[in-house]
Amino acid sequence: MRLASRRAFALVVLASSLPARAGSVATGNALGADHVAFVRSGVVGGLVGPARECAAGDNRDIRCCLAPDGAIWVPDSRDCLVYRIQDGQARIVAGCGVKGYRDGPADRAMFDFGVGSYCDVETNSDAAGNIYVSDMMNNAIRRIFKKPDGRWWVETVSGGTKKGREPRKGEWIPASELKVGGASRFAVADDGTIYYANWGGIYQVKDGKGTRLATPEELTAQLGGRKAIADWHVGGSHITPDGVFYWVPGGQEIYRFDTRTGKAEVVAGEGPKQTDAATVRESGFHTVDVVYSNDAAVIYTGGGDESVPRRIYQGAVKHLQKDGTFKSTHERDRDNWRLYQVAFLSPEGDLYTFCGIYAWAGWLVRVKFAKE
Amino acid sequence: MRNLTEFVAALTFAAAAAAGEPGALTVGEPVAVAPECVRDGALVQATPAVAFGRRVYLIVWSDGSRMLGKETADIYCARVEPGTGKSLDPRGIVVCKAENLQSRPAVAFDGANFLIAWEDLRSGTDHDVYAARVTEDGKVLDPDGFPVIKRPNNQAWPAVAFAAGHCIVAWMDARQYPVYGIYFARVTPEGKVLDPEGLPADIEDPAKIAKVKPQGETWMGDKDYWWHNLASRVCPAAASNGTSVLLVYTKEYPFAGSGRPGLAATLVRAADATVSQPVKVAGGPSPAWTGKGWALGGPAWQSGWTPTPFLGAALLPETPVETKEAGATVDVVKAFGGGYNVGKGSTASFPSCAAFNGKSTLVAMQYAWREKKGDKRPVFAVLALRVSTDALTGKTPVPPTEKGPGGTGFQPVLIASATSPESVGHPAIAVGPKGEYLLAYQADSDVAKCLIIARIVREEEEKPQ
Repeated sequence: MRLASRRAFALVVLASSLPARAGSVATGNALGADHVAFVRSGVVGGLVGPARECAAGDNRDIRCCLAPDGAIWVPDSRDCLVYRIQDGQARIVAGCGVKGYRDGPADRAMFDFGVGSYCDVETNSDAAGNIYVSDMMNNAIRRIFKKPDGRWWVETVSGGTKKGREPRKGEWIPASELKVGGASRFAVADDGTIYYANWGGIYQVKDGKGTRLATPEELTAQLGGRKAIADWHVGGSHITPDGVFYWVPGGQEIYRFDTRTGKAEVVAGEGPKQTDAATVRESGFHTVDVVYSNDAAVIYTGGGDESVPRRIYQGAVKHLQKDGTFKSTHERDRDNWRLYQVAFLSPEGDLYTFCGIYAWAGWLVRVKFAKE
Repeated sequence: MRNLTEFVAALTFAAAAAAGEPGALTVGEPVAVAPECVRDGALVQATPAVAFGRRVYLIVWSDGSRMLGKETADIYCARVEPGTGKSLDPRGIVVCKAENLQSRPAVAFDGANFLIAWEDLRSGTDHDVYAARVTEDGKVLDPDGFPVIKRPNNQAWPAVAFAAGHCIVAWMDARQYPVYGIYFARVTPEGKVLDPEGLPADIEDPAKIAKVKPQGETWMGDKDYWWHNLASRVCPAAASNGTSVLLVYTKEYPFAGSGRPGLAATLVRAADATVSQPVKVAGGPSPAWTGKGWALGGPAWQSGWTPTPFLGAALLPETPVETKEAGATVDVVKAFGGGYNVGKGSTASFPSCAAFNGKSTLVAMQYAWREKKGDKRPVFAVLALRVSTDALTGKTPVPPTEKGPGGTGFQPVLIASATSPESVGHPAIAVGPKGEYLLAYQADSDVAKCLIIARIVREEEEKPQ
């Protein structure tokens, strides 16, 4: 998940270790957490009003984002709505509460985020404040934006058809014709360029056109024979300011791909599931959510079978403990902080996460950390 | 509307499974209730509710746009003639045009007038519940409504029923942060709110909240899982037996206990506002009084990762006691196909309604599945199932294709369907003269067209043995 901050970060050269510095992101111990929004899920059609009293159909397996204006955007995976939370108030901006596919006025638009185990959706923003939503059942990425006349609007920026075609590597075709027009987890650069990994490899969408940056075979060859694309509805993607794309196929390995050089490598996840090993690469994961600081120097995982947030930072993987410290542990300790589903990182390093097993309760909370 | 809807329109269903059972169910032509209620070039009508008075039905809905910053969603209504199903107010009647959003209306008849209640965001910060009376002649006695409950925090999702001279208006209320509870107030036929602060029907134990709620209101400290210990009560529905009102709602159960949210019920005696002990109940979320107990109709869910919805009803004694039997239900996946995986915690996924006409309870629900071929688009449907009281009380055998202790003797009826991006949903039912039902639902066919549709549903005479 990208940050709303648009500050430039030092160029990070792709190497076998993660960036060592975290910029302005707080990386000390947890100071505590407060309840930000949503008091429960399971309310058909949702309920707006005070953010900490609002309710959604379902906040399960979703990813939120922070827009440049400070608004938090939260999708509702079951009712296919998109909420905006600002100044302590929650409002529905997009979606009419019915699954489907319809562009146009945001309040009458339709999305299809899947159902049940396949409910999955992510939001991202660009520097201009456009909001991008993955709409996987429609094979599309949609953009929510405000028109000059003040009306919110939804338009498809990638895919939207099941009869599209696959561009060759380096070939640019109209984004609307992309056969694989999206992924439930994707990344957006400041200028609105979209990156995602799906069955056809890694794709880039820019200025209404799309291309394929790498095929699965190419990626697999660089990743030591590992499956480069395992599942489309887990993990979390990210693009750093210098063009390094992260993706998490299957929720077990974190990979990255340098869009400038075409080089791919394993970041983490070679070890047994849920283990904090001596190195990041040897650690194991079984997660459906991964969020990143802008330069990817700080990464949090959580969700799926990982009910406790873990932080990847300075070459180590550690679980968040009840006392606010981070420790490497192989156990899902009951004393750990059960803030199940990481949602995004703020520019300051506040971790926004949903609490509740599979987010039934659907509470969005903010965990603050001390500056180191 | 297209697809199966046209095929089904006016079709008579030979619903009886065997001779000697109640006669066939006839579904009348679909009628747009307010096709001339055009606002800003669009017809956007949603979430209907319906009640019958002495001479007419009244259908209410939320009308207009929810566009953030340009909200026009208001409360409208229209009268429908019994027998014909003809709309008497095709342009709609404005009930409330206050600022911001007005939505989720509910309606009941108090013997003289209709009382419409809705959730209202006119404060700009939190929802309150407002109400207005409308005569059978279509006159709005309280333009823009009067507050039933107006407090800080959200008060939303009203339900209303008339009993013992009062309308009971119930709602979900966030005054006990961080959970919702069910509260209610009595409203007289003169529009006076007898309980302006609201009375608790079922709320979380304050001592329990105090025990787990961290210092400083929002700070969670090491109490990172309030959700583990506290339960909200949400989404109430109401029905009357003439003297009391049954409130049925969804109650969370703290995780690792009973698991997924479930239904609960409590009985409010209208005369003195006393409340029975809230209990867990089985069946669906939509209540109707049958004379022999409460039918709780609507979707009843299996447990597990991919729960299957059953449509039907369970019987609850007049004074609610805990029940676990699913009642008389049919597997709608088997009946209509689809296998629509709704996921865990989906108790209230599909809106439903129920009404009893003196012989049977008609239960309707929204349902959806995906096309098995092609684009696999969602298909939306309004289903109805007639459940005899004998079936509810277990006096008829269980047909082999159906589940539950009582069985139903019937198959569900497809009232309407549409394939995405068109949709149908949010059914509402009322009983009119001669045992006829009026079934209303919303039908979305275009970005600028979502209409409220009404259809008369009748039972034919019983077949001789």
